[in-house]
Amino acid sequence: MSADDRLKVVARHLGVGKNVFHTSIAMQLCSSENKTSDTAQGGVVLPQIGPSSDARKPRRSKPVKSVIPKNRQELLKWNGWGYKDSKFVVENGIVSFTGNRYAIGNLSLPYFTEWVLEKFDVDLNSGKIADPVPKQDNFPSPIVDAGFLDELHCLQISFSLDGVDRLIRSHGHTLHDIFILREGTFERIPDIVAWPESHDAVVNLVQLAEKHDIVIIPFGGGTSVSKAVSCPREETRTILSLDTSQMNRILWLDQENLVACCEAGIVGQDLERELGQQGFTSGHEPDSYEFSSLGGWVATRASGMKKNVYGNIEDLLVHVRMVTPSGVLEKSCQVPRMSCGPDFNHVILGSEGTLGVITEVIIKVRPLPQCKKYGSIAFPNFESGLLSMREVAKQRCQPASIRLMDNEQFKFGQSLRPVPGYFGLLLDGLKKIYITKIKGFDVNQMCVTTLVFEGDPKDVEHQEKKIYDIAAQYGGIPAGEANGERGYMLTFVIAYIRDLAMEYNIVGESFETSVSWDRTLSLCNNVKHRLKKECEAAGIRHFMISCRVTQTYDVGSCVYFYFGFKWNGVGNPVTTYEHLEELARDEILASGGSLSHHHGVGKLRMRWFPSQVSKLGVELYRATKRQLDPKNIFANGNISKQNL
Amino acid sequence: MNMEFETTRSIQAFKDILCDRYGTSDFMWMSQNWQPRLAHQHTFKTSPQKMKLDVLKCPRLQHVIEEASEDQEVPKEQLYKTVQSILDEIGYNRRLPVIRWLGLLLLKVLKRTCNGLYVNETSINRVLSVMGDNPVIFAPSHRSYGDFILMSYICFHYKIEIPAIAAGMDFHSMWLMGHVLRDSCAFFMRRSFGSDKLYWTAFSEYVQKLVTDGEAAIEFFIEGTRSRTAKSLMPKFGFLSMTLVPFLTGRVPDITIVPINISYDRTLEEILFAYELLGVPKPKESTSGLIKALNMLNERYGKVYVDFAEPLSVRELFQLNGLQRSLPTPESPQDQHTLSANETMFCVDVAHRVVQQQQRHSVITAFNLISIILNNSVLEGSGPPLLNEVVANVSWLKSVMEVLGALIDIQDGPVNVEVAVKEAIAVHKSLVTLTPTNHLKLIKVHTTAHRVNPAKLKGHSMSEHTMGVAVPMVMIQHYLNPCLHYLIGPALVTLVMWHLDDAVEITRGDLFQNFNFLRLLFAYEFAFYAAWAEKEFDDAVKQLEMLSVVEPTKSDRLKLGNHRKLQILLLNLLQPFLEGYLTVCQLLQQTASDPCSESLLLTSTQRRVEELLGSGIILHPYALSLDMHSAALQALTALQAVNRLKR
Repeated sequence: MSADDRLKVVARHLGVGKNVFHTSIAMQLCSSENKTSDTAQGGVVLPQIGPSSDARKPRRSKPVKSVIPKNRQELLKWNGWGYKDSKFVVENGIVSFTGNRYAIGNLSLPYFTEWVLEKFDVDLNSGKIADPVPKQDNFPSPIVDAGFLDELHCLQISFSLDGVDRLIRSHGHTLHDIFILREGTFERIPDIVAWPESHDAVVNLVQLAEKHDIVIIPFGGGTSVSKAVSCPREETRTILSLDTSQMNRILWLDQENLVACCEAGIVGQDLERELGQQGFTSGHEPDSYEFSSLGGWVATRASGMKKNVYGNIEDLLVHVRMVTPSGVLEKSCQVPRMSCGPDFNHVILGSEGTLGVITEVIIKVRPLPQCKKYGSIAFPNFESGLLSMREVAKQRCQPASIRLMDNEQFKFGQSLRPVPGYFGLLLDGLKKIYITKIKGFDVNQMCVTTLVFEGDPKDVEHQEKKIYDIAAQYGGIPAGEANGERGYMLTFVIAYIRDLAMEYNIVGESFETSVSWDRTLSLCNNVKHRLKKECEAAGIRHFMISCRVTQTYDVGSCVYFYFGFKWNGVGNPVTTYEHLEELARDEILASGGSLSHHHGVGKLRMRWFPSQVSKLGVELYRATKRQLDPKNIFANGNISKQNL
Repeated sequence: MNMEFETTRSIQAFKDILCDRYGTSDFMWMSQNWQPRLAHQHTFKTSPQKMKLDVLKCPRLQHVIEEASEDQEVPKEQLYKTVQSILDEIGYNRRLPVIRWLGLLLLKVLKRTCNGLYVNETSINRVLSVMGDNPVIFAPSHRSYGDFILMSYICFHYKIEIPAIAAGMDFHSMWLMGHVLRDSCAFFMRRSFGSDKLYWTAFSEYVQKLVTDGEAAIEFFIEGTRSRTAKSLMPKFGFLSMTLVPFLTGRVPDITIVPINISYDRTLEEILFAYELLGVPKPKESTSGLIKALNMLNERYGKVYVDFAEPLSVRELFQLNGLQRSLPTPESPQDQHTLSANETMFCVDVAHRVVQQQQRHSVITAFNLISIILNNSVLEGSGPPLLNEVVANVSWLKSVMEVLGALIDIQDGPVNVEVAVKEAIAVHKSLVTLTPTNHLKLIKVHTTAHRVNPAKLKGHSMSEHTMGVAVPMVMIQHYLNPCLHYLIGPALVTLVMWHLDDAVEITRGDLFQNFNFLRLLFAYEFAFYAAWAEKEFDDAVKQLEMLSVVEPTKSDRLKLGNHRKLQILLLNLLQPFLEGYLTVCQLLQQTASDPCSESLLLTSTQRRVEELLGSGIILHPYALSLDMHSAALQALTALQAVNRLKR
């Protein structure tokens, strides 16, 4: 029986009823002192529980059993996205999706197969096999100083020198990263992986690293798409990958103030599950939330799909601790806001592991909504959908999420449906006839907006009415809950497609930006136009460029692009892709878009950083860096060249 | 991007689009079910009315209205009305029935007066293939009023949406025609509005709306006005830069510019132009003038050739120039985009490329070559040449011009050349004639009927005798001028070589120095772009070596070759320009101390040229051309030899 179950039993016996849970605040989550020791793995040194000297920290907190084991590779692909058991496969010339984690699991997808064949003209019978996991001897031997290892032992921090452990923490999920895993080798990987289990352990580790001039690259969920966790190839010092995954407790939950104090390594799905069991949610749901971590969200200024109700990470964040070589940066109070000089939380937010390690975060939580409902609206074209979205933003009546997919994505989404039975087919036919014949929509122009409503049923009903009324003014017609739900499910599944695509020489990636309302449409058009022309110029015949507007703000929107093409055999596919994405980014910037809305700068986009923040901005950042990390041990090289 | 000569250009690619119109119903053709191709497809369709409304509502214009209202203490409502009427004056309209009727009329006229409207089908298909997803600009050469009517007809023929055409205000005031042109997609632009901020803002916003929201191409004449001389004029940058702003500010992904050349066998306005150059003002565009022009229905105008250069991608050109669009920093929606120095330079570059491409896509006709021959024999003082001499010389000149990259509509072979020459003489029978002895001579075009009130003259009032000599020679010059952009570089090099006093050899470096000076001096005469001096020099020397006009010596210097005939011909081509420019300089030198108005200067230059012509010091009456004198002044001003005190 788990600790909180026991508590509930006690409470029931006491006959106090529900109220107990609302008054016994911190108690609920705080339980046994003993951390479970199921993290024992081969090659991993197991320490005892580290010394806890922080008086402010509650003595007891509940260990969170993470879905993702300490040995990530047991559950997750070592060279692709997500769970090992979930992937697109080709069987008898038909694409299907394995596993039962997602709604399209174990289904054969004939329409999708058709779509792939038409779009990319591939021979589904001749896929490329990826390289196997490298042999232990094939990894570069770690550069580690014996003196440092000895002291690390003394700190009782678990660590590993194993090649695979090091490899899987040497990259994120850019196309480049995955391509190297499948067909090449990284020039530089971390020399050692360490798993500190608390803030204090991190403090000790950082001090030790500072003493020995060891480079630390913080590693959270490993879902970066900016090359943020890659090791700079010219780094000659020992590189330690600081894996935060074992630092994933929810230290306390304050129901009165609706905040939770969490360790930074907790991943999204664990956080939501644990909070959910207590009747709460953080509401932060980035598309990577199954795997990405709280610390990573803070470090990159993440954005969640339901930010309209819950806010982006900077809105959710109440308090944060960052361990730097010069000390711990944090505020001394937990208040809703304060006027007290510049807000240093914003030095930590978006620091991308270049200034220190984020160890603990106090975030806002909300009671779970009573009602959650999906919805969708079909529009005759992208422009109408966008106008409708803009109106929704103007009236500030956004539901939890509102997203507009362009026609390309609409068709793609439609293709990912399973074979319907006869009745389903009939229904599909009827729907199509209604939309195209009666409403006069052109299948090659129409778009879909997907919606998530959250709140109490009355509010949701009210919101729905308002949204559908606005949509109607722009020619939008409600297209059902199922389509909406599928849209959000696909958000998670879409990330798996690239692994299959790469087997057939199709390379692709997504990238995003934020842009003012008046420039949203022209930005979408410009980027698509540019990529189309550049593909044609490069002799690439099969490509897909598609966008969706995923967030609305008072002053603008967030636009997400998906771009992929079939490699035409000229040059290197990844180099070609990277060149094209660079051109696309130039086009985005010239069209008034930002360098990034939530993916961050990393190493992929640092070339443009000065143009975004001004010369003085760069200087200010560097001065901060010098102050917090004078020896540049947080040398992952993100954001800006570190010539200190 | 292929900026070089297209080797594939051939006269066979040109198709007479009138030939299928014979023997079928013109009415049926013009009333066909017409589904045009769009230049830039939009989901939301705008309309001429909506466009004006959108401009009226735009924050920049609102802001200017507010400013003006405060400054001038005029109520805003009144200014709104002003702007509304400005926009009504500018705005185009699209009325297909009017276009169809106009087309029908044009078709009848063309069939009656022309031997064919030849369109390069390969090149227009290339244009069609790039149309659809970004704004397109058609930039035709401007030699005649015929240009934009023909362009619209060609668009109709190839089912391209009729472009929105930038037209001068002179048409606007024509009774009925103003309306007809507006309904056929013309929008109107005042000639000078530099200081009228309200008008400027309204117009530039309107143009930008056309670029961003319009689905049709925008057509404008980069030379600003019809070239009276049939040489390219120095391009204008103002309108072009307005159209490029939406690209520079990241509102559209690219803009496609299509340089277009329209070459006429015989120019409709040939006589009018000759008089205008001599200082007799053009009659105000009027509908009655137009009806008078209908008398020309009994004339023959030969062939018209239209060629579309390879579409230029503004984005590619921008990159080619090593430029990056500046990031749109936080900007007030009320502020107009002001061009940066780089952007201004870019516009200049683009404008020159457009002119260059227009030139390279011209078609040279037999009469162009005949004009050179005739002009040459006049300057040689050898009397009217015999027809067979003319034929032989045209053959020779054709081969020379082909080396220089010209496309000439004369079939190879002596018989074919003779046929072409005779046809050309027939078309131009009002200017040249064959005597019974088969000599080719000029006709005295000027009659007393052309006499005008001296008070209206722009320049000096010249004697009847002078006019009698000058008018046909200026007309001949009009027909040889289209060849000059092929010949001018080689001619300038030859000129320098010919005047080497002490040494017969010259280093390339010295030659270039002299060449470049002449190029600067004649910059406005031949629309030279300073940035291309070296390339053009190299090309010219290469071509002259091929033609044995110059040859390299062992010490890698250059000396004159043995092709004396061509050397003399090239020098003769420069004669009127040298005479005209020299006179301008002499006159300036004499009046240098006192500031003097431009018109007075022009008048006295012309008077001086007339005197010198009389005394035989100046040989070519084209030196009387007022356009030449003002081009000379512009160049001297640019060279800082002359100071312009006030514009």
